[in-house]
Amino acid sequence: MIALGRTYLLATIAFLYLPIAVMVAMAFNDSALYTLPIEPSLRWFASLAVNAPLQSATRNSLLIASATSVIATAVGAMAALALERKRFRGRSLLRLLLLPPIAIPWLIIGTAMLVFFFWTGIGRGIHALLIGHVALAIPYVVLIIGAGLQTLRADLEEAAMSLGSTPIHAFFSITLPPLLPSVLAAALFAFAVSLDQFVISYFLSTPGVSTLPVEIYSSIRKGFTPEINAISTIFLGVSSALVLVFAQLSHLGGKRDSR
Amino acid sequence: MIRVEAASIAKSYSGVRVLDQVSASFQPGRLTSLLGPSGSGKTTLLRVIGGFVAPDDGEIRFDGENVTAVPLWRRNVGMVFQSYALFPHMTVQENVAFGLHRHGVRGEAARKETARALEMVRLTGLERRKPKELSGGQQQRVALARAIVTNPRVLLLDEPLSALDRRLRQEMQIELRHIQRESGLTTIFVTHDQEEALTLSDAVAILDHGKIVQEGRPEAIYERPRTRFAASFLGDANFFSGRVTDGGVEIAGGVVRTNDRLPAIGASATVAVRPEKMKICGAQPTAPENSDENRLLAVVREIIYAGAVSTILLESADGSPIKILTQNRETSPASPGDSVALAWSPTHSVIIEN
Repeated sequence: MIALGRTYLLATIAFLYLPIAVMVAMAFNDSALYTLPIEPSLRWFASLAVNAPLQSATRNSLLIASATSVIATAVGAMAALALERKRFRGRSLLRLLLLPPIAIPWLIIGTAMLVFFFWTGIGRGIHALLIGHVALAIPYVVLIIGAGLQTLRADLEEAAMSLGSTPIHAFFSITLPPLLPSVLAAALFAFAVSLDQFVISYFLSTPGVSTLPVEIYSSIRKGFTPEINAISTIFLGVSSALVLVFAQLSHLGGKRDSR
Repeated sequence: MIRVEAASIAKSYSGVRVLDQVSASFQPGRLTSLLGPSGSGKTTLLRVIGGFVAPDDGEIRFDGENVTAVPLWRRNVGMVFQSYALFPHMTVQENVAFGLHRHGVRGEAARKETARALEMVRLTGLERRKPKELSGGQQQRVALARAIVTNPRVLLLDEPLSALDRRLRQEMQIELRHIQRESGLTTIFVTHDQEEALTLSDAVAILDHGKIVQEGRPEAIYERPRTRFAASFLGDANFFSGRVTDGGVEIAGGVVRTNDRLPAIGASATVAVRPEKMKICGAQPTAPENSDENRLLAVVREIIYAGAVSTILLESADGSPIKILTQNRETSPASPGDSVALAWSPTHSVIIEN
C-alpha cells in the first residue's frame, strides 16, 4: 500500500517536473537541435548577454514586479486593515468584491483593461503594465494580510494605547511586528504575480516596451532558439525561490512546530 | 489615590442606548464592581472611564479634573482585558516594561520596577517567556503586572477572571484583592458574577439596561435590595406581592409584616425575602404564633442536598414557589410532601420596587 502511494507520488512529481527538467537540461546543452548526449555548455547564457530585446524585457519585468510589489502591498495592507478592523457601510460588500478578480480569466480582465485604458486615454506601455499588475495583485495582498490580521486580537493596540502609546506608535510597535511575515509574504506574492503575468502584459505592452514573458512568447513565434531555455531557466529559478520563501513565511509547506 | 466620577454619561451604538445618563462615584483606593447581565452597559461604562470609548454626553472626572477629552494614551489608566491582550511577540519582561518605556522610564529603573511588579504577582523567574508559553492564570498575572507597573490613576478590570476555571478563579480573586489593597489603586471591576462581586468589592454598582439600579457596600445591597432586579441579580430572593394593609402586605395565606416604611394603605407592594432568612419552624402547620415573626404555610416539594447546605423548594397556599436555604446542622427538618410553617423576622422583609 505504502509502496503504491510512494510510486504514485513519484509519478505525480515526475509529471510536474519532467518537462521543466528537459528545458533546464537543454539550456545547458551545446547543441541547438536537442541532440543527445548533452554536451555541457553555457553558450546560450552567454548569448543572452548580447540579446538586447530580452535584456530590456527582463529589466522591465523586474522593475514592474518590484514596483507592483511595493505599491500593491502598501495599498492592500491598508485595505486589509480597514476591512478587518473598521466598521463602515458596505464593508462586507467590498470584502466580497475582492474575490471575483481572482477567478475571472486573465484574458477577460486583460481585454477589459485594454478597452478601459484606451477609453480613458491611459493607453499602453510601462505605466499601463504597472497599473494593471497592481490591480491584479491587490486582492491577493488583501487576502494574505487579512488572514494574518485575523490571528491578531484587535485589543492589542488598545492595550498599548492605555500604556501610553499614541495610535501610530501602537500600530508600528504592536500590530506590525507580528504581522511582518504576512506583509513579506504578500509582497513576494505580488512580485510573483507580476513577474509571471503574461496575458495582461501581452495586451498592455507596446512593441518597444514589453515584459519577459511577452518577449519570450514573441521570440518563440519568430523562431525558437535555446536562448529561450536559458532565460526561462533563470526565470524559473527566481520564481521558485520566491514561492519557497513565501511558503516558509506563510507556513504553506506544512506547519512548523509552534515552539 | 484618585476619586473617579462619571457624570450623566450617555452612549448609544447605532441608535441603541447602551448608557442612559449614568452617574457614579468611585471612592479613592477602593475596589468597586460594576455588576450586571450582558448588555447592561457595564463594559461600556468601564471603557468610557478608561477613554477607550468617547461618551455621547456627560463627563468623566479624576479627582475633580475633567478628563473626558483626554485621549486614552494620555489618561494613564491601567486596563486588564478579558482576553489579557498580551503582546504576543514580546517576552513577559518586555510586556510589563512596555508602559514604563512609554512613560520615559528606561534602563535600570525600568528593570527594577518590572521586577517589583512581577514579584507582586508572583511571576519572578518567568521574565523571558513568551505569553503563549504561559498558563491562563500566569497570563492573567502578567496582564495585571503590566497594568499596575506604571502606577496608573485608576485600575480597570474587564471580567479578567472569566476565562479561568473555578478553582483558579477563586485563588485569583483573593490574590487580586491583596494586590489591589497593597497598591492602593482606585479600582473598577466589571463582572457578571455576583459571587465575585460580593467577594472582591468594597462597593458594588448594579447595572441594568444602561442604568445603575443600586450602588453601595455589598452587604448593604444584599440585605436591602431596592428593586426586584437588584434582589434577584445579587443573590436569590423570594418575592411576595399584594396590597398594603395596616402593618404589612396582604398575600394569599396571611400578612407579611415588615419593618420597612410601607406605601399608602391599599397600594400594591412587593416584599423580598432572602432564602437563608426563612426557616422551617415546625412540621405542624399550626405552630403557635408566639412572636412577631412572619408565618407562612407551605408544602415541601423538593430538597436539594449540597453538603453544608440544602436548598428546600416549597409551594405556598396560592401555588407560588418559595426557596429556602438551610444549614445541615442536624437531620433534615422536613421531607417532600410535608406541610410546614415558615418563619422569618419582619426586619428581613424588604419592600422593593417591582
